[in-house]
Amino acid sequence: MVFSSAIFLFCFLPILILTYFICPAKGKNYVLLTFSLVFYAFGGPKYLLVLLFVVLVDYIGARLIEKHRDKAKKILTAVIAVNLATLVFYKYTMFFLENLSVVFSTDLQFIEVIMPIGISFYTFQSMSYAIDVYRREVAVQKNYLLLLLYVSMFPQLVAGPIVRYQTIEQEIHNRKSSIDDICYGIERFILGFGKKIIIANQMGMLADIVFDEGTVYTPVAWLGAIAYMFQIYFDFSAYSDMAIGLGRILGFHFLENFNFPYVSKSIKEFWSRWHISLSTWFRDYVYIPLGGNRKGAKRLFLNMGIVWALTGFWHGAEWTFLFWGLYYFVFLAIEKFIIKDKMDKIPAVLRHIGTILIVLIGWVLFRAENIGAFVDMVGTMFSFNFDAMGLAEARLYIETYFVYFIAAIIFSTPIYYKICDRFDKSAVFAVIKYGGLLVLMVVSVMFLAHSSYNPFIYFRF
Amino acid sequence: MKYIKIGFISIFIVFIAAFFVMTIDNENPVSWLEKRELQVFPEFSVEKLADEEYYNQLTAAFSDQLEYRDLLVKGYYLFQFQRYNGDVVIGENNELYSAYQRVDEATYLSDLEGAAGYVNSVSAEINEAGAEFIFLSIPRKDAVETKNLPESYISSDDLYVKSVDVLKSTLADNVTLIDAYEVFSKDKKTRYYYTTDHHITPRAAFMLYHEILGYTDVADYDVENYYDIKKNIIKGSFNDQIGQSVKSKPEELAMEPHDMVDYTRYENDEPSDLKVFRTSNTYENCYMEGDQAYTVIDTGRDNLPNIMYVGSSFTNIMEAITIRDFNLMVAIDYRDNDTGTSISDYVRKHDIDYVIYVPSQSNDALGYWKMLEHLGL
Repeated sequence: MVFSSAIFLFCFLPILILTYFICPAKGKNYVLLTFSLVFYAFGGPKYLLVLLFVVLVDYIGARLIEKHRDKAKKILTAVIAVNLATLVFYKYTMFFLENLSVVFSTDLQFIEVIMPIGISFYTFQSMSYAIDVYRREVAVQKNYLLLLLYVSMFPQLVAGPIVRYQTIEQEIHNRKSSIDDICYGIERFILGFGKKIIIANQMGMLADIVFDEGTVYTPVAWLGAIAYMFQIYFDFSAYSDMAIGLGRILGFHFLENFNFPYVSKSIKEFWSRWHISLSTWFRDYVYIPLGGNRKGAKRLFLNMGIVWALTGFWHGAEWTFLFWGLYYFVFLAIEKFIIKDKMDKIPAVLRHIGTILIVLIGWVLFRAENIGAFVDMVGTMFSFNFDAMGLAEARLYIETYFVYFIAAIIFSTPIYYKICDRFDKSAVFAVIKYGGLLVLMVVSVMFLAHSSYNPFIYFRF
Repeated sequence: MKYIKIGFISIFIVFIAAFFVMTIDNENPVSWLEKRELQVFPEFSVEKLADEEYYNQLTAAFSDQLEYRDLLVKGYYLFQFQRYNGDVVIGENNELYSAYQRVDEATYLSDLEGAAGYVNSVSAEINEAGAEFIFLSIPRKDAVETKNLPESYISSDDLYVKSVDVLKSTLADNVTLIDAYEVFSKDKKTRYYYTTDHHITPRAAFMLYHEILGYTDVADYDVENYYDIKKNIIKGSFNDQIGQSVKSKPEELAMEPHDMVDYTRYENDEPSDLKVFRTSNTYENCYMEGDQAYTVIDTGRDNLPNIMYVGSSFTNIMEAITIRDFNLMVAIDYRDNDTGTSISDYVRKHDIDYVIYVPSQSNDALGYWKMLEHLGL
């Protein structure tokens, strides 16, 4: 189930809210757990077993770590190995078999492994709990169901943010949903819903046209790339908005996952604003344990390479994702080892343009079917083919998606939140804001209804 | 401030809960606007909880059965405030067109050349079976009626003209090519397409039928004098695609013959009560009662020649007009016919004299390439 579906919005959510708030405090966690498992079952009920297994491994592992501190390292190693083996099996088996088939010129794809939804997120989340217990950063959770609740909590289960156990440890046991929390949660949810349904989906339509069918025209290629840049941001950050909003309604305070990454003036800054929960996860559980920047420049360089290769590969079992991670490693290394503190001497506008350009090309690599398609697309972007037909096609797309491009630009900046902060105390502004959000909700529902509208031009009965 | 927030929370919850209550017992089997069957709520059973398909059906049902869905879709299109609406372009005077379809021109024309070669071989088979082969090419609306198109819209007229040039140079002498674009160019005032639909009007059908008669043994005559043309509000297919959000006006839609010949109709070799002419708000209901895979109309006048159409919904209106002048009228819809019978087999079976092939250009810019599929039947 996804948040941007009718069944979630008009069935799952009202039933959950009603049940959750009627239920006494003692039972709220179990209501939430039940709903979370139902939510996950919509992505394939049999994959619930994988989720239950992963959490069970970390639950048992953490309890053993707590009980046998002298063997904690070995236990943790085993726990991590099982977690990673599960992730690798479900996510990368087909990739490895496919590539081995090519290497040995024979068909080795003798099994078909389908990846359970959200496995990349929940294995990282569950594993981080066991590691944090090992590090004595959190207390061991003795109730399996409550640990399962932490991992499977539906707002963040399938697409993050990757919530650390310590973030919500207290709230699992004791939380309150105030009027302010619920109001803020609904506001974030509606904003996220609108961003996904209205902006991301429309941008996606244009990106799909250009990427799926290809183009030889430079302006069309740039438009497609820009559309995808907005699509992925508004898709992913919207999901985080909705997750954070839903969490807040239920009394949980998840950390922010995006902080307007497209206003960044360096790649380092971009990654401090993009998918923050993943960046910090890799920092805390891979980069720092590898030695971080404490073991000299060469080791730092190697550590960065490892972390970014893993970051890329985490995003998907394709070579393009691995290269995408390494692509960022190259630019981060350039910033760190070559440009260093000279960055501040470059005018801010140029730094911003340069960053966006690098990010944009990075997204082309991320979206491309394969390296060849990436090379073709970037080649077209820089081929300077301004043929009249290409210009006409680009004009048509600009006219078609103009409103959405403008909305995407505006909501890529913190303007909305700055305005809200400026008039925070004004009751008139509050009426306008909440009224506007309700209108946005209705409009988003119109877009949602349209997304399932599938008319046949010919008679089908 | 607190009360404003409580008000906001209450409205949100009432909004989502109201949709739940209104939707949960809906059982709409079809969407007439979309012309498709809707997913209904699957019956619940404990065993189904382990079945992924059950969840998929439930998700689809909630989308399809959503209360006020058609109204919301209409609202979506009205909210767009723009001329490019997904699959449809809104021109001046609410004239609707197909959305621009990207085509790699060189590949398309090269494919077309190959397809035309195949048409030649099919035509030779049909000739051998005893019938003449007429290729009727009808362009998309945006290629013919360009005056209301948005300035930035890339019309398919240039590509269409190039396509016909390829056909002219590739088709063999035994294939008669009728180019509707050329026929329509003779009179710029006539409405050849409906405002909100992709099909041709009765006036356009008459003009094309005159052209066809010119290649048959049936003498041309004032065909239009034998029909009353009725004006009606049309619910066009383009308008369906945008939730009927554009206001339709009465147009010449249905025809009523002055003196209908007696006939017997067969669908898929079974006697059928379906009508030839009807009055309705949609093109498909006005002619032949919509798209049929394999239709035979027998007028029992053996002295007259037999004719066969191979096409899509575009031929429906032509088929209806044709019945008056031929003994047998056979119509194959190449999209729905999967009998495995070849066109030349049909020609032999019904002793056909003329085969009219009408590859639709209306909603698929690569329609010609599909000729391989169409004529392969």
